[in-house]
Amino acid sequence: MQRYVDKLISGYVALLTVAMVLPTVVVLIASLTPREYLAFPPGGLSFRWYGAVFESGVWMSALWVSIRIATLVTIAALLLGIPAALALRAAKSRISATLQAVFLSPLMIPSILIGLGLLRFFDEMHVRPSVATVAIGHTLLATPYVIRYVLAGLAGVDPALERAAGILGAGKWRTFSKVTFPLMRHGIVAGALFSFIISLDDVNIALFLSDIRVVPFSVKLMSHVEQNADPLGAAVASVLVLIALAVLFVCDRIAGIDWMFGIKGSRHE
Amino acid sequence: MTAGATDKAGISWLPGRQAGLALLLAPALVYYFVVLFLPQLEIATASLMAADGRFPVDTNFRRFVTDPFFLSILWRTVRLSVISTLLAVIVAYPIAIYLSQPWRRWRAVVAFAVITPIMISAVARSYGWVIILGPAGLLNQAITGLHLGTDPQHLLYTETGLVIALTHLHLPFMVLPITAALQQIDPSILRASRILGAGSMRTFWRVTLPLTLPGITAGATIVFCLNGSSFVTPALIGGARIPMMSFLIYQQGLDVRDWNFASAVAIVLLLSTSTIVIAHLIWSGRRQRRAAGAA
Repeated sequence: MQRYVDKLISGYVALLTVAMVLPTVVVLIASLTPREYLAFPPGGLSFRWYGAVFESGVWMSALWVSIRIATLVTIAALLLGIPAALALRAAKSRISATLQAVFLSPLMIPSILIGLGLLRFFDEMHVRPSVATVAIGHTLLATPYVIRYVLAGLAGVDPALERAAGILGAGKWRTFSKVTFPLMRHGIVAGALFSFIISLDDVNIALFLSDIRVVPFSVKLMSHVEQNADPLGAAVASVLVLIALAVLFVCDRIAGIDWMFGIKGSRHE
Repeated sequence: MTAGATDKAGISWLPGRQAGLALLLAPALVYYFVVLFLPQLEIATASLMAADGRFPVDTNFRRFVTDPFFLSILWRTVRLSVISTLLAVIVAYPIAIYLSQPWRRWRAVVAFAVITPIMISAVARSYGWVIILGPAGLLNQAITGLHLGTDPQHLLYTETGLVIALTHLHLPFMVLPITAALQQIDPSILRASRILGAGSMRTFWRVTLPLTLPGITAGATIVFCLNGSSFVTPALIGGARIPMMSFLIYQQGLDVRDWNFASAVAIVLLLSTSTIVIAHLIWSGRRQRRAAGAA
């Protein structure tokens, strides 16, 4: 009986694993067609649509806008999130729990509300849409992840190590820079990479806070695929997918994907 | 780790404990206050405001609940979100079982396939579904190619297609908490159940499933909220033909520019998702207190 159940689960999981990656794989395959239209099988292998993206001034400037936004978001989220995480770790547990709920709250609110709220807010202050307005909105989505990952990274740090450094004669600042900081590096890197990707991929907030003069990459892709189903859209989407995969690879090398997503990995067992 | 042990941990280089904590928290708290709290407060006040700026309180909400079109959008949003959430529980559970069993050969591969979509652009993945579900898409090619049917199936711009895409989009958020819950189960409890004569099915229904219920409800809460508030996928798969709440907010906010009404729609959406969140918090709080009382 148990063996049949196990087999059944294996088969089911295999099927679903394929289904999970299917839409992404379909986009990647579609982007490689040499034809003028979406074709399956693609009927050859060509990078002409990637060439079309990278030679297009409009798409490249959208990509540049997004990279600038995501860089600003990463810096801002780290500057806000790391000190907050350090304070949350040191605060009394009850206060810390309440504040953690506050800091994670942007993830509980539909992001379209954050976009709508900031649209009005900037409009009333007569601030025009720009790279900065989008970055201000995205930072709200990224900071919770920085706080979460830095806290999770610090949870693995034994305070005894810090006390030991103090006893051995290290000054307070030296203890922080030589002991605490290196120990929380995983969390910082994971938080930073997550911030960058969240900003790069977001549409819901960017749609409200950008305009035709400042079009982020994902927003441009969204409006393109709303009107066309073509290999160019697939190539642009593939660029986003490939960037995400590269970031995931780095994350896995540094912090371990299993750790980042709260499940125990096989390597720790 | 006890609260006493974490005291001062890592921040002993700061002058004075209270002042130090306040100094570290201040930037983030100020940021949240200005960029999150004030604009959301403004949405709440605007939702009560008429176009002329006065406060008749009920104008926008009355308009929403008396218009069958708006109500149908709310109903569709709630209905599709619930269906997709239930579907996600059923689909996710076996994957979570697989991931929680360290001896599984393809565990790392499955984990990669399930987790990576979180980091991949929702536009890219939804576009994948557009290609698959479209009239000349892969699904129809497969159906006609395998002689399963001759009529092309039109799943793009249908609720069925949207439910499939939403379930796929948010599945990782269901798999992860259930996996974590399964990993927390002490294997000796399962052995005890077997030794006491329960078969594997009975052990699953009476022991494993109840123990993972917190994981399921946590996942269901997150997935329901994500479904209800998602914008990209409904816009690409459903378009204007099957509008959801987020689409209505976007349209009223950016196209019509009726910000007060858009705010009211946003509040309705927030109330429908937060009802589920609050119900979950109350339920899990009670459960924890019961567990503490029993121990």
